[in-house]
Amino acid sequence: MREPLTKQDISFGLDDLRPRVKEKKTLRDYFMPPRHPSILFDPDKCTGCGTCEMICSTRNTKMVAPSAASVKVITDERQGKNFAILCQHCRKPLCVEACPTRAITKGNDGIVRIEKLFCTDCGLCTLACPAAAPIKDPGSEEIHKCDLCEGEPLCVRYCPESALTFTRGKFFRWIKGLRWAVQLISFLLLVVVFIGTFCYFKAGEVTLSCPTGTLQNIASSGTIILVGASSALALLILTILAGRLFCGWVCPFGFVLDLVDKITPKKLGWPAFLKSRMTKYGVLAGAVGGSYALGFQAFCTICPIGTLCRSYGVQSFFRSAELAIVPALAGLEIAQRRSWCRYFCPVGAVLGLTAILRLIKIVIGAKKCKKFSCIQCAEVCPVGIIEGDELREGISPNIPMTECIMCMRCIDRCPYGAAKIRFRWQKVTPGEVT
Amino acid sequence: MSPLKHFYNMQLGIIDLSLPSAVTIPLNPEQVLKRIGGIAMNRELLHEHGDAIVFGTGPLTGSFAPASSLLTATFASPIFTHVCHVPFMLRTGPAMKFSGIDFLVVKGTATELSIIYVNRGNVHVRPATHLRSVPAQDIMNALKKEFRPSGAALVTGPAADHGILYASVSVEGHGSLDKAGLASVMAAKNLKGIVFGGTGGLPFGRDNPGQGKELIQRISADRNFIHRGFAALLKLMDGGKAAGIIPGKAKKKDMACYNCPAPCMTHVSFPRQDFSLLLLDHMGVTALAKKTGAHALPLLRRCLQFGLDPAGVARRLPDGKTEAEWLFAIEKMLTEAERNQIAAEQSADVPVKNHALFGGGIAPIPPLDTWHTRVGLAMILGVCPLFFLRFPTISETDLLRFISQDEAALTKLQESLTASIRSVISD
Amino acid sequence: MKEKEDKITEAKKVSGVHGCVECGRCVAACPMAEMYTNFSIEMSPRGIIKKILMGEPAVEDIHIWYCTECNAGADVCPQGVSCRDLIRALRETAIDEGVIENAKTCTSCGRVFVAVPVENFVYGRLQEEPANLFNTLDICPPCRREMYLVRNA
Repeated sequence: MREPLTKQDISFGLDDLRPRVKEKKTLRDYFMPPRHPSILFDPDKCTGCGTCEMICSTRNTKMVAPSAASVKVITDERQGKNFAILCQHCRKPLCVEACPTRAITKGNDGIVRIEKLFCTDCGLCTLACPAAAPIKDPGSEEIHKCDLCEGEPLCVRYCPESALTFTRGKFFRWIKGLRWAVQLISFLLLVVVFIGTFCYFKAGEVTLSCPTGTLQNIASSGTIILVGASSALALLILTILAGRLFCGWVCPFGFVLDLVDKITPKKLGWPAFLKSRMTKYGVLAGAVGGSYALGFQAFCTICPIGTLCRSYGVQSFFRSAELAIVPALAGLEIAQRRSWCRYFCPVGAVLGLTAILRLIKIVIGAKKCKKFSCIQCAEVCPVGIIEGDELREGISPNIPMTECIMCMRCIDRCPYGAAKIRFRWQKVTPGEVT
Repeated sequence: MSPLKHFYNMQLGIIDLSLPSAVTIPLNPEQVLKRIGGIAMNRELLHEHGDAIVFGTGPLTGSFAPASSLLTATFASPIFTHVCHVPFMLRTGPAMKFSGIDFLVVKGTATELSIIYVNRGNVHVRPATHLRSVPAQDIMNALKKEFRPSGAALVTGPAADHGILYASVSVEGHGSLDKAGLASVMAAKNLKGIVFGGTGGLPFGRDNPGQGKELIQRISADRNFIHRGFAALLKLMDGGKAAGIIPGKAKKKDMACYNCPAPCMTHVSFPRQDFSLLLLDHMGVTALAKKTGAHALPLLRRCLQFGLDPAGVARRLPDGKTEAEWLFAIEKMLTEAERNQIAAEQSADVPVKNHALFGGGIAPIPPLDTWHTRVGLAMILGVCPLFFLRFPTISETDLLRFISQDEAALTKLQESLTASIRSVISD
Repeated sequence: MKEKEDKITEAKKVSGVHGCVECGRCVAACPMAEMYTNFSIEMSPRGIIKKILMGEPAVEDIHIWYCTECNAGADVCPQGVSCRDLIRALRETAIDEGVIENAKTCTSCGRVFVAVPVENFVYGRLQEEPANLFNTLDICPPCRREMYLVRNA
């Protein structure tokens, strides 16, 4: 049964001859995303000698003619910086979209090629490319674009400073497995094994507490239960050391959300006015204020994390009804990934405030980041704090650690080692470009 | 078939500014084979055409040979009162060759200030009266759209327009190794500069691009290869006294000329003070540093703006003044049209005659006994003389192998080369 | 007015339009057919050449701004007519005459670098991509490269 034609499909006559190939995600792609080849450039090493242009041009034109190369070396005279512009072989190439004769295709090997048979040298690919990487030779007016020399790039071989490296990228992949394991174990421990531990609600039975619960308890009863407060303190210390690691690796409700996320891949989206990260601080204020006013821990009664922790072996009807909170709030996941964590969770709010004192940060180093040609980190980030728009403009974004849940999916997925953990005082060259 | 066929366009540009006329004619292949190219060929063309400036490239210019960036200028120097050969690096040599001509003869005097434009095998003369007395950087901005990004330009500064003897030609506003007064010769011809379009190419030895890499492997353990940049070269000169000229807190970046694996230029900048310079004139900076110490860099910037030779300026600066006074003194030099006199400073290490023959701007780097021969050879073959001096383990045969691997051809080339260098040095 | 006539005569000479035999090969090779739903003879290379040969006014016409200047037409023309050179000359004349609404200037350097209908085509093709791309589409390729250097070096 054919899929209904979309506007893109109805194209004037080319469909019979060269139908547009729709990208299909296979199961293999899901577990192991394809590692596409690319050339990385280190501007600190480049001396602007132009050897890459010379060598590249011999492949394009059978002559040494630097103006006909697929790589262009430009210099910023004021700041004394050199750069080699060449095709990044984007995951989602824009030149492929723009070419009127569909001469450009991304092959299965990941290389974006211009089929010279169909190319009219119109230059629309250059207009579409964010880095203007296809280069028009001013002499012959032909367009030359890097094709990675079919797997053995000459510029990489001949650069005297080794400023160019050819890479297919490498994924960590073990962070993901480790995290799921830790999440599962935390879930089992907090929900099944240590029944009712994680919540300060029923004093006497409870030994552990979260910072939000502690605050509500102090506000409502004016006393501090030492064991509870110290467990909350331990969580705060963990956050100071490692950011909101709790949210990404330990929180049982987070585990539930991640599972729901796996079964609801298509997201409906939030209305814009609800999308404020500040809302959760408001919920926190409401929880503490409410506890003070009402004399009992207001939020803890409806907290999905606490409810989950107290849910094992539930007996009474009231308790069962209370359980409805968990699927109700987990249902928010259909709107946006981890939307509870982004906009509403007061535990996250407290940990976020504590994360101001963090020792480490996740950075995306501009030198190794492939920016608009990759954007995988922005796609996998569950809390959406990596700005895909900035990446598309060629800027490596700053990650706000008060929002980051330290799930490390970006580090796991980045094939070029650009996303990494650093101490907060470490500068990441080139000086955390914004 | 001449082994040099793939290394030249085999075109000669002849410009007579008086008419003005601009033509390109084919080169005589036998003449080229006899003289190889570069300054040896320039010299012949100068004898043929008389009162002219001859710009020329060597066979290896633009090729896979390392540091193949050279453009040479041969002319009668008003400072040294004999024929001088001056080198220009960065991208000038390949830009001229890829613009379609290998040698350019400029004769006559133009009626109004003009600029020469070479592109796609054609030479043109264009009016440039709007560039009179314009600082070098602004000239470059005005010309940028003509030659960016593939080409290059040689320009004179306001000092030349004012008739200053020690004015200096500047490669794209960064200065040059011209201390023989090419700028004043150009100014006397009413020539503001030359712009090369630089689009185009030549086959060279394209079947073996790896040859350059092998040579680089050979010299990669050499001390001069590992220590690079402007300061590294200063250390080799004069006992290294001027090596501390670049302040520690400046942002430095080593820059290399066309196809050069061992950069000897450094870009220095002080971002907070919006100050940036590309340092490439070793002798000039050393002379300024000797006279003015730590203030050399701002003074150098002023010299480059005005198109003045820093060494010539240094000789004329009074001792022991403040930076502001020195800056003012340089500005005054621009308006005082003095035409004398203070003889060009000679390096004590290299015999005066040889150093002056090559424009007085090439750094006296050891080994000094073969200095003049090596510089001459490099300037005939079309590779950077500084590169050839720094790596004495590279022989002229190594370079000739970039032209041909055939033994018979090599022997012939070697003979021509020996004859050519002899003719150049005997002047 | 006289200058404009001179420029058009020069354009005709440079592009060799008098050799056109109206075979239509240029239209067959022209990528404009794949780009514009309203592709008509008036914007096709053959149409513009005909218009010029008939002496009709073309400089104020919007139809000269659809071409991508790819030179495919000139490559296949049996008479060696270069429609690209003709259209380029007509566009330059139009800009000199002040007819600039169809020419897009770079927001960074101010140079004319593309025709508005051509750029609208690129917008249209990329319309499913996020909006900020349109910032780079307002800048000419050389300035875009320099901007990339400043952000990444």
